[in-house]
Amino acid sequence: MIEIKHVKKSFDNVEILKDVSLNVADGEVVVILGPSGSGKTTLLRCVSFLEKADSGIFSLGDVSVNLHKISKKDILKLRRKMAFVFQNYNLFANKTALENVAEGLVTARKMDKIQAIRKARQALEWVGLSDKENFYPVQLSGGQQQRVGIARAVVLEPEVIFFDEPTSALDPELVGETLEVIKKVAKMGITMIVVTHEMSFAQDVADKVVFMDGGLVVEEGKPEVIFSHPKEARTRQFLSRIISLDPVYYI
Amino acid sequence: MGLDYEFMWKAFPDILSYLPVTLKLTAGALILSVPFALLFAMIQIRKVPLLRKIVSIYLSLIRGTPIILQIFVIYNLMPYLLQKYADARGMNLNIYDLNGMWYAYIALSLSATAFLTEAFRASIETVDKGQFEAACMVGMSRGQAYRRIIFPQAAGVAMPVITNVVVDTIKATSLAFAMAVTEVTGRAKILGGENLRYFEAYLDIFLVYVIVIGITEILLKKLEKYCVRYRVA
Repeated sequence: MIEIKHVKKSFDNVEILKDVSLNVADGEVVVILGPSGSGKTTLLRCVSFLEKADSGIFSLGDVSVNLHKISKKDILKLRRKMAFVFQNYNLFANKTALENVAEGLVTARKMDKIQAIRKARQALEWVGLSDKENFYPVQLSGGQQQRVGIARAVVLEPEVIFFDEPTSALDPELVGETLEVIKKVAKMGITMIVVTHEMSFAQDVADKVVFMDGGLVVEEGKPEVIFSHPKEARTRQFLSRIISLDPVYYI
Repeated sequence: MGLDYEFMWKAFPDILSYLPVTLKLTAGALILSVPFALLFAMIQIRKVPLLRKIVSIYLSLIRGTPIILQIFVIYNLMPYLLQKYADARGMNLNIYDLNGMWYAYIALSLSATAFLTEAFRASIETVDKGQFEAACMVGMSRGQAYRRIIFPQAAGVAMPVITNVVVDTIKATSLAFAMAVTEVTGRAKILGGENLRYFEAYLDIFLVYVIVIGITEILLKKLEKYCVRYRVA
């Protein structure tokens, strides 16, 4: 169970998150939608401690922390339970695909190297990249890089994975293969919070859709409800604009 | 006036026997510089208040003065201050017995540290911050992220500048003669003076420097290739 309570965050006096609260059940796939600047990414970054929130409480399992004053020790401890998939993949450029996946296990988790490599191989195979294990990130396509990024997250066996617009930087052609892998992750039963503009993905995979705008959660609910009967005018407006643009890929 | 080839030939091995001093000065100065340069670079990157100011004043001072002047200051001022300190503490120590090599290491490392600081800072900042965040999100500590991900990539970027600093340091060791340390250039001056064959002696060391620096550049180029091996294709 993840509880996010009253998270606030400003950058240079611009309020990005006004007061966001969100509960996510174990194994739930939550998709966060919303226009640019609505605070979706900032929310993910605050709860993964990449940004320091101005206030807010975050609970993961039985650990509960104040996001504004959290110790380095607590950050390390909580990060052991989470993983992050970035918009720009952020693979380690000096490491091969296999090393990228194994790095967290070896360096952070102190796992035996041989065992870590074996696990990393399995994870790469699972995302369909067995033949690329010795390739460096520059030698991989965007879609392949993002799949390595997903393998790197999954191999840690986290309680929750945050996806920050995982397909937004990809060629339209490569979006499909990446979404397929993300769907596979969803089927594993790992809790997921996904920021995306992929409406069809949200409809297919999400257990819950959260619509954010202006630093607030405007509306949340089951995807079939949000997409067909949104309560709020702002949600309706957003969805009508997006869905009319392109039903499959909106980037 | 003809060249005295015989003198050139005879003096060469003599001068070459002082090459270890030159190399030792270079290595010593660089070994002393690297940890400080890394520390200073991190102080600037992390924007540590106060220390950051001190580092930038240090950089301006070193960049703004010739090495020979830095050498004179170190060589004349430091023993005086150290002796005063030792006397005040009642230590029975004669600082002037200290080998001139030590002043040379320190004097030469001053400018190497300054230029390496700049090289390290700039190269670390070229590595995308996203990779640091990714390292944190796979559970690495800040230190692990720097050691495993950031520094290895920064090293590749910094290598050309590091090569320059190494070469500059080799050349700057020729100033150590001003601190009564006899290395290659110093020995050539002595031999040239004794035989009144300066020009021949200088031609000898000309050759020594060209060869030593040539080899250094080849080796460092290899190291650079190794550092950027991940930038394939």
